[in-house]
Amino acid sequence: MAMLRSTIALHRLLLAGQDESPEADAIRDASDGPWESLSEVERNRVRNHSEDLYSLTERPPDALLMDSKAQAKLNEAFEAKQRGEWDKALELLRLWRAYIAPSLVSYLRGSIWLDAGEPETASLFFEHAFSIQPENQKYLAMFLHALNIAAPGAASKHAEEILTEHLKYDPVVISRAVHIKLKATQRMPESESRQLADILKPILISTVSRFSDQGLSELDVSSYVMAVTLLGCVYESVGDLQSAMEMYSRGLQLFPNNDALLTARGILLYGTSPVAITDLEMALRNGSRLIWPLFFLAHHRLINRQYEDCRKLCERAISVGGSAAVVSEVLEWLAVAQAELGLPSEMVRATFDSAIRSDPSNERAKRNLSAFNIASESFNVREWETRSPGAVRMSSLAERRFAMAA
Amino acid sequence: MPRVFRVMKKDVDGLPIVSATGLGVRSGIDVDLDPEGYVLVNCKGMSVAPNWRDINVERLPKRLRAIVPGARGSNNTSCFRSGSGAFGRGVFAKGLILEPDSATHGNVAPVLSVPFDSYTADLAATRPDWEKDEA
Repeated sequence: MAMLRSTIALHRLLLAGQDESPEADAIRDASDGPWESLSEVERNRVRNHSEDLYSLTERPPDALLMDSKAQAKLNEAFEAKQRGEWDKALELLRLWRAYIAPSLVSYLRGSIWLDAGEPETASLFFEHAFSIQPENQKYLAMFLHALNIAAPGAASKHAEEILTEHLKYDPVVISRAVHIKLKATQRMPESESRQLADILKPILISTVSRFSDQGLSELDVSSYVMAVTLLGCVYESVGDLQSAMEMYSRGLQLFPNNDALLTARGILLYGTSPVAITDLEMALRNGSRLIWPLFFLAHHRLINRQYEDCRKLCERAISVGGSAAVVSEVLEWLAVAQAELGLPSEMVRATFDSAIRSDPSNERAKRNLSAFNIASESFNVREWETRSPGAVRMSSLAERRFAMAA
Repeated sequence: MPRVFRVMKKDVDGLPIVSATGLGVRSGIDVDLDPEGYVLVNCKGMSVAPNWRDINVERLPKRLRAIVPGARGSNNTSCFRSGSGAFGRGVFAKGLILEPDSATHGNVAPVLSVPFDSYTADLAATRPDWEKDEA
């Protein structure tokens, strides 16, 4: 929402002692239009957002001793957050904040704004939580996470600073910082990406080892899985597939149902072992929200002529979404499955057209469409051009690598 | 005359300062001009609200936070009130008309298409009618 950006900009100017400057006036002038277009509910949200931002620079209210009523209200705030009732959750925190540690109030506000899709606001509250309770490095990890969504460049800079002194930080922070740096390699040439992977490998090895020294009860599961997955990805990217496999399996020994690890190992083994299919299917059953299990399983079903299953998996993959190239290939497989299932020619052509529109450089989809047209006219058996499992696994490596560890 | 509120900088005499963002308008933003420099009569004009609590929270002076949470405007500005009638379309002052565009916002627009300077002079002429009101 434009008004939230504007309020944050004014907040930043206030921090810089510039909130009476011409720049601040210009922001206020520009905010009149957006303000007028808001409903009363939205206006209240903006007012409360602005008021909550003041808490980042002001002394918190005098602390009150937690009692059963305040605890009940805090629980109510958690439940409201779970239900996606962000305004209500924030309102309860506002009303009862004197009973809650200020760092926790900021952390909870950050979590709510993050869930509500406002990572910039979330990053401000997480940063504040960490500033008042620096011994809780989970707050720092959450700050990096939110900042990476809101401003990847700034997050990368922070991550770099942290990684230069990585032993000073908790493994949860290091995992997040490495993830930020490696995710940025998706936009880098392969050689640079590999170079960075080489630099980060020893840091990740040390981080995984530090995690392993922790007891299972104190282990932050998502951060551990992130570190293990990232290290596996790093091994893959430098061609050490055996170490990658060992890393994923090591993670799965501790958390056998973890969908990220199952997906990573499934992809690594795809085309070489039936375990790949078991892993990918299990990842799906365990609630993976990634496109990759669907993508690889759809390909597997296609080349094994299980067209109805392939069709269903393709449709699910498309609804999850991915890069233009990946979606184009899935659409292409869907068109092939539709053709083989005897669905109307118009539908098949429309699906091929969608595949080509999604990625105009998908020449194979164009050739398969031509093959379909020729076969339809001559009543011949269609010959489809599809990639081998190995080729599918190697393609879009940069896209899926490191993103899975999020 | 309709009762309206606007946030403006206060002059030494306690009345609003006449300026493009004070008691006045910005040409091309608050109002549109024809090629001859006449203000178009298209309901645009100087922005006002029926209550100062309805005004953009980023304009309301910070000192009013206790009444309106999140107020983030400059403390060098004040909420001014003019008129006492209902917030509806009608004559605001000589040459000026109030054109509400919602229940919480309206524009003080020219009645007729007049040169820009003439319109701003009409607005400036209302200066004595404005009074600080943050109650």
